[in-house]
Amino acid sequence: MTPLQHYLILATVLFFIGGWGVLARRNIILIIMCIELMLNAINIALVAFSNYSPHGAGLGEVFVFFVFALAAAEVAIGLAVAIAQYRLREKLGVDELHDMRG
Amino acid sequence: MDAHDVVALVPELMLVLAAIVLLLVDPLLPRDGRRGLSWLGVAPCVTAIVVTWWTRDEVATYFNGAVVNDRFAVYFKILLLAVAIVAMLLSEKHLHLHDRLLSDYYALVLFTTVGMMVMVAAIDLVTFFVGLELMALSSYILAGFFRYDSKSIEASLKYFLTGSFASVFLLLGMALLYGTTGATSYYAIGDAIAAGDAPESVMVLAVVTLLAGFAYKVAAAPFHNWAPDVYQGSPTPAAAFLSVAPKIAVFATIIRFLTHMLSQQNDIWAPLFIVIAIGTMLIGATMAIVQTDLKRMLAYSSIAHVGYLLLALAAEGYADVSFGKAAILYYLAAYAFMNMGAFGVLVHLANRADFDYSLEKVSGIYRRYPWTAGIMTLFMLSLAGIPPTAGFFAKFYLFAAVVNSGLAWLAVIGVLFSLVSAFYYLRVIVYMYMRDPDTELEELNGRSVDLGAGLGLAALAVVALGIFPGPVLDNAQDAVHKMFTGPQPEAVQEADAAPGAAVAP
Repeated sequence: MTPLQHYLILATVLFFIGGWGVLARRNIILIIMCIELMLNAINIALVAFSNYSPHGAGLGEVFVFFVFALAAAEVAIGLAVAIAQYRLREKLGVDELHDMRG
Repeated sequence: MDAHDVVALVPELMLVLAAIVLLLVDPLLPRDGRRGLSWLGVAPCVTAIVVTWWTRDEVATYFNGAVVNDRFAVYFKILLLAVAIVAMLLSEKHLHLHDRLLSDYYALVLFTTVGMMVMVAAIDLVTFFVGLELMALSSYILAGFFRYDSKSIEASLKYFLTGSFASVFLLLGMALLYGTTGATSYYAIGDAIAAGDAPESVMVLAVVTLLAGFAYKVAAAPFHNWAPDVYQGSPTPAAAFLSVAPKIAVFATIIRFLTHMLSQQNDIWAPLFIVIAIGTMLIGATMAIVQTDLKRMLAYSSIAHVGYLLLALAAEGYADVSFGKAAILYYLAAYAFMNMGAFGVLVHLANRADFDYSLEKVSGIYRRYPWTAGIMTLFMLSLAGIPPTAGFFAKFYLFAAVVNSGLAWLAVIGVLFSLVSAFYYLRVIVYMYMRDPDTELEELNGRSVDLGAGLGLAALAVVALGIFPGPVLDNAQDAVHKMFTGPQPEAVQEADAAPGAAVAP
């Protein structure tokens, strides 16, 4: 059986790739995708914890289902706002977000 | 799950039902027949307050230990419902003025409120996360409600990107708690941690990520950058709601997390809270001074208020002062009404066509609108913490709690920043009364019953909390002392509740 650490290393790597993407990318769609990547990294960790946990097995999977549903809702709203932004400015970069300063 | 469980959720269900009704009736209404819609949102909130208060002593967990009905949850639910009522009353005129008077707005406020009510009652990580996301997702849309205004959309996008990033960190912290303890119930996690099941290094990581997520959500330094932009760009009544309600719910959650789960980890979170609190007060107070936009000024002022609250949370980690948490609860109530009131006055002034929220534009307004200037003075004095307003007593109890926990030097820092903050609040009053307006002030067009009622309620609360702090303070004390601290042995979790474990005295 694959040790728990392997799953956690995979989750950590994915989490950091996603985190780097959020900070480095300038396109809103890509940032949303990177946030999803981070959420999925946590999902992997949750399922792995659930499988290796002596008690409370299954709770992690349940948690993951909720995270799936909420992540889907989050993307729907993020894309809706991104479309509203695109209609106003014809651009989708975070660098366009500079109406307010101070 | 049985009927008994559903009864526990009656207030939340009423709000959801009202929101659905609002969404359904919207297309049936004529374009200019929407005035008075806010009462469809206010009425269920009032009923929910009554029901919540009615069932306040039925302390039990529901839905297999997903939510709890204790005095702590009741206190916060009623506070959040009151905030939602004032927010909805403040909105109608402004939405009408911008031709966006749609019932979606009220439905979103109700959904946000339901999410927050679930958050403060949750005693399970999964339930808490669902409540958090319901609150967060609805509030992103509220921020961008004026979708033809590029500032509003910019606010919404910034709120969305920072908010979902913060949620990821909260989720990571919760995943680590689950991974180390194998439970998602707050009480079971607390028992497992107390039993020493959790490795120290993982706990440090969990506490730090949770704290980062919470700091994002309440706009504490160094994660405060989104707040001024979001509050400035959002529709003003939405900003009034968003600058208050989510913070109340998140602070309630922080207190629950610290009490039920992380009370043993105070050597990790208490010093972190001190650093965050000092940084937050510093940034809030100094940046508010240089703002010329009133909404941005209020945004930085709300950051400073979060700093005071974090100060009291930090003090909790050093000594259990009997009224420490109660002081936080009282402060949140006072902060809610004075901050919403200040934003509400801006909503009222925005009826003037040339009002652009700059400080210059309130010059000399007392001559033309003495009532507006007077009520704004009340809110500014309260925010500055000058007696006999709510803000004074709130700050007094808060700093007294910090001193009593042996951190007098920290209280001194807090009071100093509070003195600095008096400058930018009093400056607004000086502009209103001692400056001459640069142009002739027009009459504010039209009166609105809703707006008047909302401002009146906020002002009444600020005065009442200042002159008669007793009832609310007693309820805050009850909320903390009668907090449900774990199931009885035969109840939901296998963990046997050690008597008095993780209880504030």
